[in-house]
Amino acid sequence: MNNCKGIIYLLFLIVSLHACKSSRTFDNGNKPPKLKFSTKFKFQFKLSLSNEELELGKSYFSPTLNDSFKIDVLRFYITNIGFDFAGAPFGEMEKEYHLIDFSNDSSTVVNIETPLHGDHLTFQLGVDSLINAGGAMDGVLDPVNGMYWSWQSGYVNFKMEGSSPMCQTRNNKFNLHLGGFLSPNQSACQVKIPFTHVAEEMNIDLPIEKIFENYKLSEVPDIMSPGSETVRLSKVIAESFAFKK
Amino acid sequence: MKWSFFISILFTVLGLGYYGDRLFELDYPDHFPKPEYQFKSNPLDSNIVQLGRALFYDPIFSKDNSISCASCHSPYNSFAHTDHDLSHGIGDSIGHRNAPALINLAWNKHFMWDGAIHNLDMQALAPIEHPKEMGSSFAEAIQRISASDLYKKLFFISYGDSIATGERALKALSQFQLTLVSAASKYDQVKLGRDQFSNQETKGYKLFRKHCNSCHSEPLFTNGEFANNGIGPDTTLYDVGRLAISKDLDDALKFKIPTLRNLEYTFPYMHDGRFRYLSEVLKHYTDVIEYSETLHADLVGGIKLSSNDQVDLLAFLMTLTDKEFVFNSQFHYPKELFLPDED
Repeated sequence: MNNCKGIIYLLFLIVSLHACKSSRTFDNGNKPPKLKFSTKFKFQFKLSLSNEELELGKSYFSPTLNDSFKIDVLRFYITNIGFDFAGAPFGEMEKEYHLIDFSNDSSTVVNIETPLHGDHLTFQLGVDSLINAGGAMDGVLDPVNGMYWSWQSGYVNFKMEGSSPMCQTRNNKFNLHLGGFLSPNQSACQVKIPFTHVAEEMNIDLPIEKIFENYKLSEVPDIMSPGSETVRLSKVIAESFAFKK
Repeated sequence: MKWSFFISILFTVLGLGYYGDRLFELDYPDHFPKPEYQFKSNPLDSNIVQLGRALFYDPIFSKDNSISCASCHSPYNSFAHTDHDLSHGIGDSIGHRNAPALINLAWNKHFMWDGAIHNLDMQALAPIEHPKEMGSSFAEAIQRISASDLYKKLFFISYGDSIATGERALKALSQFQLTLVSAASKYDQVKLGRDQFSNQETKGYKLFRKHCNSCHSEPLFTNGEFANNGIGPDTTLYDVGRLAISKDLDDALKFKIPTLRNLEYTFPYMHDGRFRYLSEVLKHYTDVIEYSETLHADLVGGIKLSSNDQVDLLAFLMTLTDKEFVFNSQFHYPKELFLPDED
């Protein structure tokens, strides 16, 4: 058996060497020249309130709410990271999923190496429907991460939990669990952020007041299932991201 | 192009050397359609099936180690929860629906009475995390499994390392449940030309084809859709069914059409287990259908069946009983894993 495997490996090696050789001869003329320069971007997600960085577990006063609040959990999925130039996709997208979780600093950083970048950074906020319907997944998509609804199919794309005295709920808690992949309540959204400057390390800011401006925390402290409100709020959040120096 | 073909053949040959004796395809008769489940992302593997079987019978998923999947899906009742109208879980809490039989799940498009779940892999999360079923967080359940010596061994022989992930546990549970194929009833034997219906069963089969087959369609005895069969909401539960998931008023009071296979074992009947006997079910369809806007069109005015017809129909329905399925020891409690020192 072992001998047999050795022969198969040898055969495989010969075959692959041949394959390399032929591709060099035939494809040389069609391949674009390799670019010598590439930018290694380090995108770091940050939360802010009134232009100041916001941390989890700390109480803040929001002028929008006219009350204090605290965020304990904030995490979301992003994928399909790429660039747009003059309104069209530019270069390849990175299709890996990232779970940006503000309780884990290293998860808030996304490294992208690209030969060219366009005038916008683009990514998808949330999990697409194929993955949602595709069965058990591993890594950041493993349901052990607590970003999957158990009582029905579907990932939670964006989760924000916290408390505010204005919420008339147990322990003044609020829960925003946004997701849903079935028509008409698909809530994964495209994010498009214009480059205001270009640097190797760039911060992507999510200003929390933008959410509060569009979401009556005191009236609806809990949103935890797919619906039109989920879709609306997902769009609001997708449009709130911006580069920040 | 030519080379890549050879390379893929080579990989297949190499792969078979390692896993060929463990991988297998789901066995089902020719009169069954193609399964819905995407086996490509979770190919059946005899070791993974055994891991899934252990997880299915192990109360380790429940918060206090009291309830397993088999608590409400007993193999001797065709994996339903016989004798309980509403199934009960952790701390004797009573849920609000009757646990359905787990039969031929590879052909299911939707799971749960309201179709809340779209993929078998993800179904187990619902009972694990439901406060009235197993009451555990999934992450904590996976931690308990990771800490168990038995599962370190089972994950190793299944996946090549001992790490228990959520994905692996869910896929293993799916694999075991996918093997629960019921296709050896008298009905199947007749379809395969190995048996014949009696006169009474033949009459019953004709009545079935006329009155029942549009929803409980052969050969799976469900068309996999949702319907309001006119039983009206239970006034203590006010369960609106599929409406709660789809938020579409046209889905009010609609529930998944269950398979009729093995119905001899799966009493009580309906999503809330309100009928204990099949005779009550038939009486419902002939005499007591409650009209509402979403009532299935074929049921308006009820089904006309004489009492002789009803006896014939019941005789046919009994041909859907699959004793081989119920007594298949491969589906039962894995004594050899949990109690290796006995017998």
